[in-house]
Parts: sequence; C-alpha cells; structure tokens
Amino acid sequence: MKLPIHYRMAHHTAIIACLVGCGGSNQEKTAPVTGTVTLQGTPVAKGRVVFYPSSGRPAMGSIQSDGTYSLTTFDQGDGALLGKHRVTIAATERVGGAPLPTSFEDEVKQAGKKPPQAPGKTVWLVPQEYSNRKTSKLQAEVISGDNTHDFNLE
Amino acid sequence: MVCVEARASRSSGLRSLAVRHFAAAVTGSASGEHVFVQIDTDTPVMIERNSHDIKLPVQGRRKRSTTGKHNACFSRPLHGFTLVELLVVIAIIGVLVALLLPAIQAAREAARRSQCSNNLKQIGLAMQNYHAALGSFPAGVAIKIPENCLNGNCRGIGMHVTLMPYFEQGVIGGTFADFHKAGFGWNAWLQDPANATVKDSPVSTYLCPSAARWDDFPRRKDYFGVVGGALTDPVDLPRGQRGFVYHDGVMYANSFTRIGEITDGTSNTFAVGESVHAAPFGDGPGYVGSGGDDSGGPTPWWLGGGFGESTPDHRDQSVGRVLRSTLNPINSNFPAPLDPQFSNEVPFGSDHPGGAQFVYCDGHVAFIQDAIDINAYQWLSSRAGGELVDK
Repeated sequence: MKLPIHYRMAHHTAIIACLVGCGGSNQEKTAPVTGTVTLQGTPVAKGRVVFYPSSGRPAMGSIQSDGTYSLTTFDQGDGALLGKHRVTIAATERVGGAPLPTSFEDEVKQAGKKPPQAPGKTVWLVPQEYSNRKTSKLQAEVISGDNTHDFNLE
Repeated sequence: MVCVEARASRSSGLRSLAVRHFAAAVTGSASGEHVFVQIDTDTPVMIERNSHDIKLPVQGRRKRSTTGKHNACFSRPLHGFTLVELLVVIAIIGVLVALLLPAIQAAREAARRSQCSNNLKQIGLAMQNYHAALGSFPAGVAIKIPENCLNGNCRGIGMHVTLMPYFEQGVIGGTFADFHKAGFGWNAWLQDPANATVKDSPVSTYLCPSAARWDDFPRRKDYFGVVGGALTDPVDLPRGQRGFVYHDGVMYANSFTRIGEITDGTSNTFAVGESVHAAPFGDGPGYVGSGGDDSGGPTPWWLGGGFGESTPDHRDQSVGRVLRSTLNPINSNFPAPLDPQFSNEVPFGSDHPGGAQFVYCDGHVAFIQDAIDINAYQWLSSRAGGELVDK
C-alpha cells in the first residue's frame, strides 16, 4: 500500500516523537519488600523499618498498626535496592509531659506562661539496640521479585 | 459557459462523448472562435482553445475515476485545502509542540534552580562575611540559658536572623538586637507590636522559586542549617522529646563553629541545604503532625529554637524549625506520619527533580542527588568526622 507523502511524513514524525519521549530512567534496580514486625510474638503497632544497603540510598517504611511494613526507596512502594542490607527497627512513644499546643498562635501565647511541667519521656517500644545500624544485628537480602522479610524481635 | 461531460466504458472500449451546449461552441465558432476537445481515458483531459471569451472549466487536481459519472461542471476552486490536509498539518504542529513543551518546562526549572543556587551562594557568602567579622560562623541557634528563659522554657534566635546583616538585610535583622541578650528570644520579638509588619515580610534570599507547594506562605524559609547526621553511636547522640539532637555538623545550638574546627575541610562539609518538607509545629496548615495531607507546614524565617531549661545536656531541644539533619535520605517522606517526637528529624529535600542543593562551608554550591550513598551523605554533614568522602 502506498500512502500519500504527507501521511508517511506524519507517520515518521510520530515514531520519532515516541523514540524521543520514551527515554528510560537511570535509577538503580529495586525490588518490593514487605513483611511483619513482631516483638516476642506480638505485632509492633508503630515505628519504622530501615534497610541500609552496603552502598546507596536506604529504603524506609512505616510500621502499620497490624505490624506490617512496606519499603520505599525512590517512589512509593518500590522496595529496596537489590543486595544485602543492614536492617534497623525503631519504635518510640512519647509519654507524659505538657500537653502539646494545638496551633502556632497557641504556642506563642502559652509558652512561658504555664508553670514548668516535668518533661515527657521517650519510651522505646522495641529495644533501642535495633534502632541503630551500628548495634542492630538484623540483616536481610533483597533479590529481584517480591520479597517478604518478617522480623521477630526478642 | 460550456460544459463538457465525458463518459468512458472500459468493457466495450468504446468512448462516447456527450457534448452539451455544443451549440455554444458552434456559435462561438461562427464568430471566429474554435474549441477543440480531446478525450482519452489514459491521458489527462487536454483542452485547447484559442478564445479569450469562452471559459471552459478545467479539471482540478483530484484524480478522476474512469468509471461513474462525473460532472465537469465542477465547482471546487483550484486553491484551498482538504480536511485531511488540514488534519495532517495540525497533527504535525501538535507533535512539534509536544516535543518542545517538555524542553521549555525543563528550561524553566533550570532557571528556577539557578536562582535557588544563587540564594544558597548568598547565604554561603554571608556566612563567610560573618566569620570575617566575628571570628566564627553563626550559631545554628544562639541561646543564653537562663537569660532567654521564661518559666523553664527557653527560646533562642536562629541563624537566619543573625545572618541577615551580612546579606544586606540588616534592618530586619536589627529588630532582634534587644532579644539576643535577654528575654524570651523570638517569641518575645514576635509578641512585640513593633514587629507586627516585619514578621510578615518575605525574605527573598530564603525562598526557593521551585517550592510551589508553599506559595501561600511567603514568609517561610526553604534553607536550613545542617546540624549533622553522621553520629551513629547512641552514647554520643542524645535523644529528647523532639528526636535526635545532632551536634556533629557546623550549625547547632550555640555552635559558633570556627573554620579551624572544620577538620574535614570546608569544601567537604555542608553548611546550609534546601528543605521544603513540612515540619511539625510549622506556621502553615496542620500545626501538629497528624499524618494526614495537611500535617505540619513551612516555618517562617524568624523562627528559632526552643529549649527546656532543666533537661540535662539540653536534649529536650526543638531545632527542626531552623536546622535539619542528614539522618534521613534526601527527599524521603520520613518521619512519616509527621509526629512531634520526630520534629528534629525532617530531611533535606527540594522540588527540583532528583535531589537538593547544598552550600558548603567554603561557599560553593552543589546539587546532591537523591541516590547518593547514605554514608557519604552523612559524612558530608559532619565537620570533624575524619571520613574520606569520594564525591
């Protein structure tokens, strides 16, 4: 079939536009990682999980109320870089202390007027040693495809 | 007017020619004009005439089928475009615009990034000027305890205010003069009616033009001092109600770092970086982070640090509204959800694609990519870590 010249020109232009427009991204490969964090069998309800690769950008995920987490490196839910990781898990809660102000104006007006209160305390919901990548002994390997890494802490 | 109608029959090979109004031609002939019509199915119609009075309609550019009836009294003008031709032209223009538009947007973003880079350069130069004048870089938060305290709460003055006289904003910076030595820091300044107007003034050097998400808050700042982030030993790293209290960078509470103390080298150590991320206790929407879309907000340039007077080593300090650390990677959405106990842990980041810009202690500005190795990133934020960073 021989098409008129202007049809062919439009066709070629469209192909070139596609080739130009569809450049690939140079991000490193990641693989989705999900799992559950438990402390002595009980799911941990808050906190964060961080996978530190031997080199590159770490992957992070918030622990949901049912103890599950899903990691993100670059884009939401894209998982962690492939390879071996040092894993840290931190979960803290603020206990006691003065009630928080509810707005900036409130803070400016109230600060300094109230009688001093005993400062609140930070309580570690999982042992603090897991929160630091120097002291945490947790490790995980991420391979291509879906990964599930459950952590049962002592 | 003379109209000629040609009919051809392929099957018979016979050519029949019906000539209407031939009388007109004959009449014309009688007055000395001649019309010759040659009809052939294989060659185009050729009309030869020697008259200037008789106008024969001439076949247009469109190819004629040899079957079917065609009226040579054909009214389409010789010039103009068909619908298909117009559509093709529009399609080509559309493709060209589609190719060009991303390039234009990228050029616009590059211009905004240059402007942002210039702001950081100004901040870097102001820090050098400050050092030349006073012998040290400004403190991340300058605070005197107990002079700046009221009922156990203390408020310090942030580096953004103390730097102002060194990039020609001394008039605004001067309004803080009385609040450095005594009084409740920026909180008292804010409550002074004399400052009601100046508190709403935007400081353009502190605004990144790419940070469109905070366009409604022109008194914000998009650049924060680098408090550190390389410390991993929990013994060296106190943690208070507002998160980790780093002090291994150049800008921290009462740091007044001298260049001589930056043993990693001024060209290897961050001073100030971009952060457009919402912070708990910001001035914008969602004051206390609730984890929703409106959690936290931007912070005004005049906001300083908050301290508890009695806590040991001042670990209950809130400096996330002036300083930020490299604990979390660039542009990460942590701490998530925004929680007051992590208000010191908001990351650096920007609305430029793929990273954020930093000014180093020697005054040079560099763009750091999101994908930078976390160790290298954190080492760049420490002033005397002794690390070897391959940039």
